[in-house]
Amino acid sequence: MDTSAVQASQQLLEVRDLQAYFYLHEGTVRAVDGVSFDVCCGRTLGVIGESGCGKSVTAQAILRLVPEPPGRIVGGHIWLHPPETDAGPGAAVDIAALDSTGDEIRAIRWKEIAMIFQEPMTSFSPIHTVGDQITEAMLIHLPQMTRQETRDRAIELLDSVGIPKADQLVDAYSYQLSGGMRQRAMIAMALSCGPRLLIADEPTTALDVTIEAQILALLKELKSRLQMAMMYISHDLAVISEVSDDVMVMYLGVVVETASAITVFDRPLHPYTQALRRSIPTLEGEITRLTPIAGTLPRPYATHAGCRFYSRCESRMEGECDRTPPELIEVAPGHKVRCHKYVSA
Amino acid sequence: MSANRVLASSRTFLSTWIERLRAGRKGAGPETEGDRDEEFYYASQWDLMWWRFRQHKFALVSAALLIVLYLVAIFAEFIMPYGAWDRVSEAAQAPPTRIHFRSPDGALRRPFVYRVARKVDRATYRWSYVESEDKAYPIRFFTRGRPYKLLGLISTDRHLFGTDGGVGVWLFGLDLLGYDIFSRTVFGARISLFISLVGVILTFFFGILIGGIAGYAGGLVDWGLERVGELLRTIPTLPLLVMLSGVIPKSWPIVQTYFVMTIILSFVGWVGLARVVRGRLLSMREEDFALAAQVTGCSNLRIIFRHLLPGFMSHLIASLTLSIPAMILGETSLSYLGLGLYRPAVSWGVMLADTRDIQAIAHLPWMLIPAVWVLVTVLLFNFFGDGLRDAADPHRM
Amino acid sequence: MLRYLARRFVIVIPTALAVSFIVFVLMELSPGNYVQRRVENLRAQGVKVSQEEADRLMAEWGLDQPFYIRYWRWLRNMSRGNLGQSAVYGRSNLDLLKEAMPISVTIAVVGILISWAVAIPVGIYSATHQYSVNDYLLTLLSFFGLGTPVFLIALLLAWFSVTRFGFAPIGIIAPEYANQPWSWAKALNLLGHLALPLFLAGLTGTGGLVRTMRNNLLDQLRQPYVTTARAKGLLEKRLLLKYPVRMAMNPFISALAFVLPAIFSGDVVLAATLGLPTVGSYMYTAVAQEDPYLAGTLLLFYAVVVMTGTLISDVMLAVVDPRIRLGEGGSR
Repeated sequence: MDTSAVQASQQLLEVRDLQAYFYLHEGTVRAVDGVSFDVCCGRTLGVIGESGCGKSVTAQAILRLVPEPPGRIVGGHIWLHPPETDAGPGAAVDIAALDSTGDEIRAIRWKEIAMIFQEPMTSFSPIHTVGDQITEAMLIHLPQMTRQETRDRAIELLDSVGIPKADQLVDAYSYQLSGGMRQRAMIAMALSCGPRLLIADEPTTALDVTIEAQILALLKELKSRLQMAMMYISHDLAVISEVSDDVMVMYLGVVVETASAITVFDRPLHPYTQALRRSIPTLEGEITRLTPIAGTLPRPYATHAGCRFYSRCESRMEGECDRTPPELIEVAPGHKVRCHKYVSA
Repeated sequence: MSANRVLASSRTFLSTWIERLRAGRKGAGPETEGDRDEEFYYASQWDLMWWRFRQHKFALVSAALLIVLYLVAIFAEFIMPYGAWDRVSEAAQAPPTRIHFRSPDGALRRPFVYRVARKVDRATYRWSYVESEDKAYPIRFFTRGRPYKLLGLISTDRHLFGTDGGVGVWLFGLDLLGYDIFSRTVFGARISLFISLVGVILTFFFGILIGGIAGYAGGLVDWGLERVGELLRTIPTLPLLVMLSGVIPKSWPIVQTYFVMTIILSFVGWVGLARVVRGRLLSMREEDFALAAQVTGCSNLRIIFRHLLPGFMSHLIASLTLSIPAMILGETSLSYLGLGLYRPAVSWGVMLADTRDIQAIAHLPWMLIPAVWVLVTVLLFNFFGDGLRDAADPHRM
Repeated sequence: MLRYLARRFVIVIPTALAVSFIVFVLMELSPGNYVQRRVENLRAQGVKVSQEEADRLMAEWGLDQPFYIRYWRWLRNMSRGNLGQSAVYGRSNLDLLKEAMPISVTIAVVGILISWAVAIPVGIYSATHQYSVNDYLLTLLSFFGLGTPVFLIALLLAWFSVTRFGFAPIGIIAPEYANQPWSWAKALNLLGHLALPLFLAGLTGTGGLVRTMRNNLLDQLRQPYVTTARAKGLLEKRLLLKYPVRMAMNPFISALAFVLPAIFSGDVVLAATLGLPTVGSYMYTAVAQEDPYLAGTLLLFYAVVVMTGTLISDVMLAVVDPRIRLGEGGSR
């Protein structure tokens, strides 16, 4: 990895102690409970965790898409840093403090931060053309462009993501496209206003493996060409390791480990990450059994006295791990773990 | 099969049933690695439905009120102070009797009424009724009155309330000819409430039978059912009922008319239900569990009744409940128009038929009270049915 | 789209035939034979009608032919505009229909428009403010509207009007204006008389339509494409109307096929309660007086209008929904 590039990149998004809870009538779900991370310009942050760990809610919170009843951002900050100009760094905006229906957040949406979703079929409106949905955002955020210009740009975008006959398909409806093409169209739509950060919420989970590979290749190419920061969310460690520069592992609403992608894959420290790593079947060697992670996720309304991973941890220390929750500690430069094992005396 | 085999198989059958009943309520779940002891409570489909239903406050209240209504209808003669055909011509068109709680000197007394006398207005020839305050007649409970047979079995002459001395307690007033509206409303509830039940039972059987065949067998029967359903939806219900009632000759006795009307009313309902049944069967037929049943060698009939039907029984019941108001309204509308039941039969529709001339009854608003009762009953059934439907299928699948 | 519409149009013909068959069977089953009535009437008036004459009349009207021939002749006559004679009114059924049709159709059409105009905004409001007090109230109200039989409300409101306003909403116009030339006063009077039936016709559909819109909109609001639109930075209101509401309109439009029959059901009882000279009024009089041919003709009229309405709603659906217009295809 080019270390000079690492040093040169500055913070684009700074999330500190984000807490997002859902107040349901069966109980309160602490979906995101004190999550902090940085996304730097031009770098990709991979977010990995099981379903229910809060990774999607984190992504939604960044764009204030969390449905306000029953959800709510209860605490924390989401600092969006403006691009550096000759005049020097501008003031950062705390997205968490904005009004979720106000003008400021709507100016940020899509223009600064865009998102692609898991289900391309249902994420497009079935009764509007693909082109219409791509140009829509441009018409809102780039008022200096004429309708014709936005349409031309839409065709250009569709072409750049690898959709053939873009000038015809721009007038197609989403159900007329195949799954892979729909996802490409969604990527084109996301790029339409030139965002500095692209959040990808499990974009390939609903696609089959060969298409998944194509989409990943496309994303990597776009990332390097456009120098765009990306936040890639998945439950698939293999995919994450391929696409990310840095990785953040989440479990039940908290970050349990962050490190560079290589480190997480080669030298995971947190028992959960290690278990995830072990559960990936490899093509090398002989495997007689798969190694799943023991146990199941606890109920979402449960509160935990100690470490949240206690019930499934192989290295759990009774008396300590079930009493006090561990803190997120930097054990090596750029590598943080939340585990009592690594708390030095 | 030898007798021993029969005995043995029925014994195993019984024992498995008893086992299931016992274990079904509380059982220990399988232990998996790392699992703490968890006890499982197996809730049947009906348990789940009841729990969800309980959350629907409106539906619960409606259900309770409906039970009260039906009880009133069953014990009608007891609750009615007077007979449905007892006429008090000298007090015809009397307004509802005022029940007093205070004597003239202001003291609180048990409820009582006064005798009324008719006064004729010289100018308009309208009757009005004045209370003669000389004697107070207290309302008594469990009074003696017209004899009847409670539930058709027990001879008695006790009524829920009334007065000594035969002074009228007409809670809803008297109609044009002097019949007690309260008594007739209570009595008429029988027809209105039960004709719909009978109709619903008929609808249920026809609907399941035809819908089941269409859904499971498919082919011509199914196609035919689709077309019939479409046709019936094109013809508006009430005009169709009107036309159908025209088929019944006027000369028929009322009881016969009653039965044919019930069949007519259920006719309107069964096609809809058959289509629902068919739709459900069609979609469930493709499910894996149906396939599994087929593979294990179950006959088609068994698959339908034992495997598929229980899956949507709850929806069926909800749909049926929701079709009751339509039947009540059908009978009421037809009788109101004079095309259904008619005097001397007593139903709410027959009672409302007297109100056709609005201007004539403009100063007798109490004659519209049966309309309020129809409204209330229909609303109660709607709330109740809606609650059932939500409980059966909260996600509207 | 053309193929879709052509299919719809083509289905109408066998459907209409089937309905006509059902109606004919009902007419035949009902007691009340035109010729018999005529003969009875004449005899009651003292005119001597011999058996041969009666038989001749039967033959003249084709009432001695077998069932299928009579059916065929009835269809043929109808296509020529001959709908038969009414024994009750002594006039041709076609004249009676032409007289009653405008009122019934006007009430139905205006009623539908009113119900749409009310149901769409109310349904949208209810869905976007789910669980609020207002939503609860509106749901309750629409329940009332849905469950309450129109004629009962008609009864109560008519009584109210008579006693409070001294205005009897009976008939279509007060007798003194009946034969007068048009004037503001006459028009006002007409409106006054029509107000209640129009209101009731609107009420018939509104309850159900509000619930349809509300429930469908709630389903659509949960869909991911709404989140996508929001993520793009659209204003909530614009987003709402452009995406989920348009999607929720589909079942709304097809609901037309249900609202129309319901309004016509109300047509019959409103005629009885408010004395309106509608198709329904002639129909129940016909049944009450045992004139099944008039009744059947009017029933057929209702069915034909419903079929037309369904066809119109199908066309509207094709216009609004591109999936139907272009055919729900697989991927290119």
